Amino acid sequence: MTGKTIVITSGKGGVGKTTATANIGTGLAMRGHRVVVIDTDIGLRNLDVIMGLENRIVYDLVNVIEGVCKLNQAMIRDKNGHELYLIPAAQTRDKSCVEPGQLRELCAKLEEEFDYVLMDCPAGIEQGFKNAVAAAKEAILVTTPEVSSIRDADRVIGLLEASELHRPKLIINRINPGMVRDGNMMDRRDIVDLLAVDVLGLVPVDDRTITAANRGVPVVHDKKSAAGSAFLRIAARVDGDEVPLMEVEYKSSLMSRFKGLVGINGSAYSHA
Amino acid sequence: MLDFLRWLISQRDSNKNQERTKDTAHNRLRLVLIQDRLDLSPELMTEMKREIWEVVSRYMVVDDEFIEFEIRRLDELMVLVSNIQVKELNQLAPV
Repeated sequence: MTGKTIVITSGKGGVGKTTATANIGTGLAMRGHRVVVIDTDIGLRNLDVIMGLENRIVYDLVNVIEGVCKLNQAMIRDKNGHELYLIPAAQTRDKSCVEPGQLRELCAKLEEEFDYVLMDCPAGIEQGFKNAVAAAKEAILVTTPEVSSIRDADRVIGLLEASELHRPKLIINRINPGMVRDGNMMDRRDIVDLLAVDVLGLVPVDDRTITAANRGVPVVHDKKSAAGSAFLRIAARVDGDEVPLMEVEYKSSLMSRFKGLVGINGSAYSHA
Repeated sequence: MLDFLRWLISQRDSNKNQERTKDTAHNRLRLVLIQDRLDLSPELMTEMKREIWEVVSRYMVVDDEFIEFEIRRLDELMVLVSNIQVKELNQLAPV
């Protein structure tokens, strides 16, 4: 079996890399694939809590690399019975204890056994980023529709190109449909115009992403939620399915429709 | 009730007059990204400056110091502005 190693990166922190990694990984596993997700954010691990696996950690990525344990001892299986495994980051070490070559070697080994190897990349463009990027064959870039996040994404596109990771695919996260409707948030076209990359998916801002994280169950399990269904479609596209992009649409509630009639901005929205 | 209607109308008007901030964001970002992508190191900048000076000095006697040499924003454009003081026409100039 030869799997695909994909890095999920962004440059700027806090835009949803870990959430995207957990949900795409889970989505691919729900489609019947064997998936391993690696938290490469050494010192600041979070993928474990987002996936609800924090109490099962015995060994971590650094233990594997240093030969303290066997590879399969550090792989924690997902709670939902899918072929989904997590290799958590070390929490008490720093990024310098992993070298690009070591991570590349590990991913090559995992590719023999898994369909997808997803790496959650740390924020920034320092050592941790370089390690993850060196091991990846493809890149997924996460941004929010905000100036700082888009600027950093552009910088990362340049750095990915320099590392032979061409044509990264873009996820636009936390789209607020009401603000887009009012012309107060850049939409897909604006962002593609600036970054000149292909869009992998559009994810609306959704309270259920947060409640899902609170519970440690990725929102993609909640297929009726706006963000969950968006991530499910993203997983399908990663998997090679041609799923048309669905614009995040403003759906007015009764109250906001009334407000719309008289010309006041409503704030209720949902996703189509 | 009349006050309520007046308030509704004022709300509507204030919405209409509001700036579409996404256009502002888009325009600002466009220029910031051009600047970021230029990514000219100070060394390359010095190198370019030297070469431009050499070319100009083949045709004219010019001052050693540039009066101005910088990449800056001109409304919607990014421009390289360079001013060199001309001392006299070079006798050896081909024209």
